[in-house]
Formats: sequence, C-alpha cells, structure tokens
Amino acid sequence: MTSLRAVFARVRAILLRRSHSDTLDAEIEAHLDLLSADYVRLGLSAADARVAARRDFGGVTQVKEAYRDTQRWAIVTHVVRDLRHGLRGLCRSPGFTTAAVLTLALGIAANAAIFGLVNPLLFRPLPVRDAERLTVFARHQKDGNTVTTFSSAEFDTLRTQASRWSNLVAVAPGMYGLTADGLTDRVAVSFVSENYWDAFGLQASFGALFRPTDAELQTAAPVIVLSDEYWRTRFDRSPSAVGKHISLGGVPLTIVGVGPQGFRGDSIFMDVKAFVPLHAPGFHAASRPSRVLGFLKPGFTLDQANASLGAMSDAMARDRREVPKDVRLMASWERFSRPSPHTARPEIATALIFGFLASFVLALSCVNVSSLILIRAAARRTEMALRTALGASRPRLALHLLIETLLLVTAAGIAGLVLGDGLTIALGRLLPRFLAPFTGELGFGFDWRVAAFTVMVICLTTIAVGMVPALRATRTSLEALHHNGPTATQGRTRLRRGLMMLQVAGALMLLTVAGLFARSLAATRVLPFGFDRRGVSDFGLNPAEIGDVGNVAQDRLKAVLAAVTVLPGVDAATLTQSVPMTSENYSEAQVYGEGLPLAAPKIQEVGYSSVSPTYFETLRIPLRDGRPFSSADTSTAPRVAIVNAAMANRYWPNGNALGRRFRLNSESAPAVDVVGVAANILNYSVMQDEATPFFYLPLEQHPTPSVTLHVRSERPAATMFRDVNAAVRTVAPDIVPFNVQTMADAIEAAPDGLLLPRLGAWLAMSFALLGLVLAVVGVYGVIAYGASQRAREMALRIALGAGPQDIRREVLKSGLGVVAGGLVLGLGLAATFARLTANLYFGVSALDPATFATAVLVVGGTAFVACYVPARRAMRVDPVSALKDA
Amino acid sequence: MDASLSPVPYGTLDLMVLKTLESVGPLHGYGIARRIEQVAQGSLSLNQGTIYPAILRLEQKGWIKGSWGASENNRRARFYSITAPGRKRLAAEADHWARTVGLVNRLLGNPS
Repeated sequence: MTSLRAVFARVRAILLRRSHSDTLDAEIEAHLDLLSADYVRLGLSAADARVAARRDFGGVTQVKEAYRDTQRWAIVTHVVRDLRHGLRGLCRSPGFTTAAVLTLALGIAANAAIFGLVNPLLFRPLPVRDAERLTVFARHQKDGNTVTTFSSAEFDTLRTQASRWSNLVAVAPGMYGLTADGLTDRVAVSFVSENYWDAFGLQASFGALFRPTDAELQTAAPVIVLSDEYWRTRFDRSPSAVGKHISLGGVPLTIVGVGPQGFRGDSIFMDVKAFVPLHAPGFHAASRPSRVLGFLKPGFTLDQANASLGAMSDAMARDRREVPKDVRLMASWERFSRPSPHTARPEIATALIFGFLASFVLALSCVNVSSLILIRAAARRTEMALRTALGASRPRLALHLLIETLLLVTAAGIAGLVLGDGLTIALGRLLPRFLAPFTGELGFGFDWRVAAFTVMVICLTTIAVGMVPALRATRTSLEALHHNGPTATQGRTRLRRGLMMLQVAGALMLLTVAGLFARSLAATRVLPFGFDRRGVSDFGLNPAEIGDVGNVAQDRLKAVLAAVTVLPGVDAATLTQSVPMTSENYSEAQVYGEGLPLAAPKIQEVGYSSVSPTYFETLRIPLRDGRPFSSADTSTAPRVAIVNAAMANRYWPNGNALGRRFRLNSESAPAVDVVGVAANILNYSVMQDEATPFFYLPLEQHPTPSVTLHVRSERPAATMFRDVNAAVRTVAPDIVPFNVQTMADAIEAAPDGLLLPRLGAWLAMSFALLGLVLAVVGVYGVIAYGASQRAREMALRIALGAGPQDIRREVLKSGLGVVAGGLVLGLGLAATFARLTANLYFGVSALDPATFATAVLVVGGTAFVACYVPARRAMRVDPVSALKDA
Repeated sequence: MDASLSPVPYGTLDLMVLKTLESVGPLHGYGIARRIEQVAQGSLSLNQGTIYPAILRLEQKGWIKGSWGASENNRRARFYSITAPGRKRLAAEADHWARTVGLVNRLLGNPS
C-alpha cells in the first residue's frame, strides 16, 4: 500500500520535475536563513553566520542530488541520460560504430538465419487445441528402427485401452489425382478417423466438417474436406465449391466444407490439401497402416502414461509375431517428434551443429567488438577519470558503458535480422523439395519466436561484449588525469592479447570445419555413382491416383513410355519404381534361395526395384554378365531378376550367379531366375557402402502403379519437360506428371543425396569466411594499437641507436607469439569439434591432415600479414615527433 | 570533525524524524534538525541537509504530510506533521528498535 503511494509520488515527480525542485530550493533557503539567524543571535556577523550555516547544512548539491534520487528512480533518469549521451558518442565516432555494428550484425544474422530455418520445422506447434499435450504413438524396436504406423485393429485397441490418453486419431496419408471441372491435380490427401476435427478442436472456415456422428451418412454419400489453402488456390474461395461433386482417384466424393485457415494437416512435413473420412468407401483406407496421435490427459506425465502401455505393447508384438521384449510401444510429444519419433534424430543433431557454428561466429564477433571497445576505452581514460573525479560512482560509469554497448548491439540486431531473413530464404531454397511448399507459405520469416530469440541474442551479446570493457574501463585511477598520454597498462594488454588469441583459434576452427565440408563436397563430385545422372529428366507418374490399378495402370504406363520413346531427341526412356538416393518407393524383400547361405537364423532383407527393359541402357549401368530384361519377360513368361555385383558376390561367391534361383518373401513363392548381373550403383545414399546387395525385377512381372519416367536426351531439360508433358497429356490426359526435374537436381536436393555436403559446405564456408575476416580485423587492430602505444618506447630505442629492422622484429615478435598460441588452441578446438561431428563428413577423415595443414597455413598467413602491416608502420616512426608528443 | 561524534546510525534518521514530529507537533525542516541535535546533546554529527531526503521518503510513504506556513522570521517554510499511518509505523518501528537493542545488549552481556 505505502509502496504503491511511493511509486505514484515518484512517477508524479518525474512528470512534474521543475515544480518539485523549486520546492526544495525554497526549503533549503528557509533552513539556511533560520540557521544563520540563530548564529547571528549567538553573536556572529551576518556573513560569518551564513558560512557557519552552510557548514552545518552540509553540501547543498549533494543534498539536492540525494533528494532527486529519492524523488524519482535515479536509475531511470540516469539511463535516459546515458542513452542520449551514448547515442551522441557513437555518432561522434562513425568509423568505430560502423565497424562494430557490421561485425555484430553478421554474427547475429548467422544465428537468426539458422534459428529461422529450424523454427517452423521443429518448434512451431501445430495449430490445434491443446497442442502442448499432443503425442504421437510409435513402436521402438531394439535394433533402432521405429515403426510409426498402426493397423486399424491396433488403432482400435489403442483407442479403447490407452486410458491415459483422450481423443486418439488415426491418419493414413496418400497422393491422389483430384478431378474437378475436368481438371486433375495431384494432391496430398489424409484419410482421417471421423473424430479428427473434434479431437483437434477445429472449426470449418466454410461449409461443414465431418463428425463421428454422421459416419453412416458418409457411407451413403462420401464426403471430402478441402484445406483452406487448396480452396483458395484451386477454387478461388468460391462458395459454390462446397456441394461440388469431384472425383478422387476415380472415386466420386462431395465437397462438404473447408478446413480452418492455416491448417495443413497434422504433419509439419506434409502439405495436405484434402481430408477424407477413414472409412469412406472405395479407398480401403482403414486397412492401411496409419499414424496415431492422441492427447495425454491432464494429470499424467508422459513417462507414467507410457508405463501403462506395457501389456498392450506385448500383445501387439505377439500379434505381429515379434519378440515382445524387443519392441516397445510408446508415445512421444508431437513437437519433439518431427519428422518422426526416432530416438536418434540426425536432423536435430545437424541443426544443433550448425547452430553451434553460428553461435561461434557470433562469439568471435563479440570478441572483436570487445577489443574495439577496449581500445576505444583506452582513448577515453581521461574522460572516465574526469567523471570519477566529478563524483560518478563506478557502477554508474559501468552502466553508462553497458548502455553504449546495448545501443551498438541493438542497432546490430536490427541489421542482423534483416540480413538473417534474407539468408534464411536463401537457405530455404537449398532445402529439399518436400519442404519447398513451406518456404513460401509457412515462411521461414519473422514470428515471435524469432523475435524473442533475437532479443535474447542481443542481451547475451551485450553482456558478452560490454561486461569486460565496462569493468576494465571503470577501474581507472585519478592518475590518468596526470599522465596526459596513454600508458600501456600491463593487465589490459594481456586481456587484449588473450582476445586476439581466441580470434585466431576460432577462425582456425571454422576454417577447418569448412575445409572438411568442402572436401566432402569435392569427394561427392568424383563419386562412383555407378550410373550417369547427367542428361536425364525425371517425371513422376501414378495412375493409381486417378483410380487405375492393375493391368489398366500398366497398359497406360506402357502407352506413355512408348509415346515418349519416339519423341524427337530422346535417346532412351524407361520406367522405374525407384530413383537412386531419393528414398522414394524402395521395396525390400526377404530372399530365400537355392544354394544361398540362408540357413542363418536371420533372414536377409534385400532392396529391389521394378524396372522396364530399357532401364540399364537409359541410366548407363553396365551389365557385368548375362542379359538385360527384354520385352519377352512378360507377366506370363518365367520369372527373372537381375542382381547387382554385391548380391552376386554375397550369395554366390564362387562366381556364376547366372541361372541361380531365389524366392521372394516366402519359401513357397514362385522361383525367380537370375538372368543378369549389373554393376553396383549407389542406390540409397552417397554415404552408403558400395557393396550393398540389390536386385531388379521386370516391371511387367512385378507391376507397381507409382513409377518414375527417366528420359535421356541431349536436349536442354526445359525442352524435354515441355515435350514429355505434352506427350503425356496426349496419351493420358488425366495422369499428371509430378516431381518433374532433372535427375541431377533430384539427387542434389535429396537428403540422402548431395544435400548435406552441399548445405554444409555452403554454410561452413560462409561462417569460415566471416571468422577469417573477423580475425584479420582483430589481429590488425590489436597489433596496430599496441604499436601506437609503444611509439614512445620505439622512438627512444631508435634515438638510442636501434635500427628500423629491430623495431619491426620487436612488434612482429610480440604479435606472432600470440598468433602461434591461437593456432595451437585452434587446432585443439578444431580436432575436438571435427571428431564429434565425424559422421557429417564424407570421403574425408575428420582429422584429415591436409585440411588441417591448409587451414593452419591460411589462418597463420593471414594473421602474419595482419601483424606485418602495423609492424612496418611502427618501423617508420619518427623519433622526434613521437618523443615530443609524449 | 570531532571524532567523538558518531554519525547517524544507518536507517535511524527516518525513525528520529517521525518521533520528533510525534512528540513536538508540526515543525519545519530546520526545526526537526534542531530538535534532533538538542535531544542528542551534541553526541551526534548530523549534516542537517540530509534530513530533506528522509522527509521526502516519509512523505512519499504517507507517514508525514507537509503544508506551507510562515517561519519565525516570516519566511515561507514547509511544516510537517505526522499522519495516523505514521504514528502506527512509529509504534511498530520503536517496538522493533527496542527489541533489537535488547537483543544486542543481551548478546554483549550487559542487561539493561
């Protein structure tokens, strides 16, 4: 109560500043009058009485100052004054200000960019009710695999028995052709349990959403809900879209409503355009494996709740014929399970590593600006000493300097955000294709998290940059007023040199990491891919999306292939189930064979792909033995396969794999004859072991509706895209080619392809360049300043007979000692970091001596130049003027 | 400065001002300072000016209030008087002070 009154009084005093100090003046006058009147009564003269009164009263100014401090919050007025003062000071030295602001802005930009990149993917919650309690179910196997999908029976079990959860939903994704008004789009569709919208607490932005209660109605008249974004882009927000009859994968549906704005489904990595009830007839979606999400009930911790799943976990494993103790059913928080609840999460580790590198760059720029401020502080020692003499306390001065730093860092923060935003968008472009929809719509741009993060960075930076100089600079004695010129203080020099050493070490570390990434990238350029990706264009085709399956689908695909093959300029064309390194559509099969060492307890799973006869010719994969598939290998002909060299060596080590037979997935399946042996290629990843077994089957004998069409041609890719699209339109107007791109681009952008080495090299090299520039500026600044401090000493030496060479050697020696120390420290840092992140590098050892040596040479050489230039200048000091100035 | 004079113990000036106003009635700043010095009988070194921040503090907390009046030599001066919350506060402070002094005395082994 009383304190509240005091607050009001103070606020009033700040507002009515003038009137109150007048009151005090009047009171003091009255006081002094009364006091001197008493002294006069005691017999003093009027003048003496006045002096005595003054003496008794004490310092009038101090009383006023103390009075004012009580009156308002002293600190507020001080801060306001310091802000004004600081701003003026910074404007007075534009060179220093620009250098400091730019240096810090670069560091902050690097951090804002990395954070901006990670933010929407990993931190932004789903726009649903109680998102913080949302969990994802998964079965974690002992061997490290995680299964994130459940059968509909398993979903029912979870829904009825997982009592610690509420509102469980099942989601089965799919890609379909959506035909409306005669036009077909390829869209991502989620088949969702009927309680989906209620469970997430979502409302339609137009029309209605389906509810569990109208399940029967939906069977009679199947419905579909569009995403708000798709309604906008495809139907121009037209109200008449609702009620429209469309066809999804050939099944007729009626649009009943539009989902809430900004909702793109429950997975951050998918851009779902339409939602269909799980039990809608015609899709058999309920029999597909689906992702299961649920809300943890309040009052339980996740660990407690997971512990209650034990019996269910065991039962589920037994039903799947697995060993119960090898697999654990568990729920994880949705927001920490992106893109999937795997326990090992390379995406996060990678983001953390780049985050660390970015904060390292910021730390380096802090060190740099710190030494700039220290140097400036040395020039301001007279000012500080004067202010101390005039009664400023040490905390006041330190606060003043910190506020100056805060001004600097805030300016840098604003510049950094602008820079960082641009950088994020640029980085976003490098990200894989499946993220592309988000770079525009969701935006890696500004939201409160980025803002909060940047403010936090600014505060930390201010403290990091400003604390040491502030404490240092205020430790000034009045002596500084006597010595008119700067005299090098031992401690301060040592500090500056320490900072310089850190800079050199940091630059070396960043450069080494950049070198390792650059060498990884170079290594991938000469990598034996085993196939020729240049000159190949890719087109995704999937007749199943418009409802064609089985023979119909295969016939239509064959027709497309035939039409494309005869296009002018086409050298070869083929259909394939999977594209190397893009991790789409890979299948694995258990291999049972004749003469195979499969009596081993573990049944081998081997990857395979179904391809057309022209596959090996189109991708220029050499056949080591046997023959390619031919048009004679039809569905009625004997079953055949082509194995890769690794598979041939593993299962038939004595050579002559030709003519051997094996069976897929069951010992009673029809046998497959090996008719050819193909050279190994990198099927899965640039990092894969070359000798990974793999085999090929004829598409005719193992049909799949979802394929990629590879077209090899000498013509420009843009021409091929146009011509092939036109050809597909003519032959099959309702099949929409997707993922149209060159094969080289697809591999560049694939996470298992060249994305990581490319992104890593790009980021690490820009960080390293920044670090190097910072180090050069830092070393130069410290050496040049040190030399100018010692100008008098040098002048004396010259006067006493030292030659210019001696002076140069003296300055160089002091600098190079520090540089050498920094290099040693940096080598240690680099080696530690490289070893911790060894799995990010490819084709180069984490401790690659050539990379380390090059980095040492570059940083050492640059630092030497940065020392040499000021040393030369020191050599030319004119003894007469230097001594006179001092 | 006479070494035998002790400075005003930290935090006690507010208490002294309150007590003075309670026992003497409305006073101006000079009067308060004078009165404290008289009671201290020369054992206290008081910079008279320092009572003004103390007065302001007490006023802000609402324990005393001031109004303009005329001094003995007819100058405009501000007279302060203690308020009801001020009296309550004084009682509490005085009690607290007495207990503190009693405790310290007992610790020092000369029961008073």
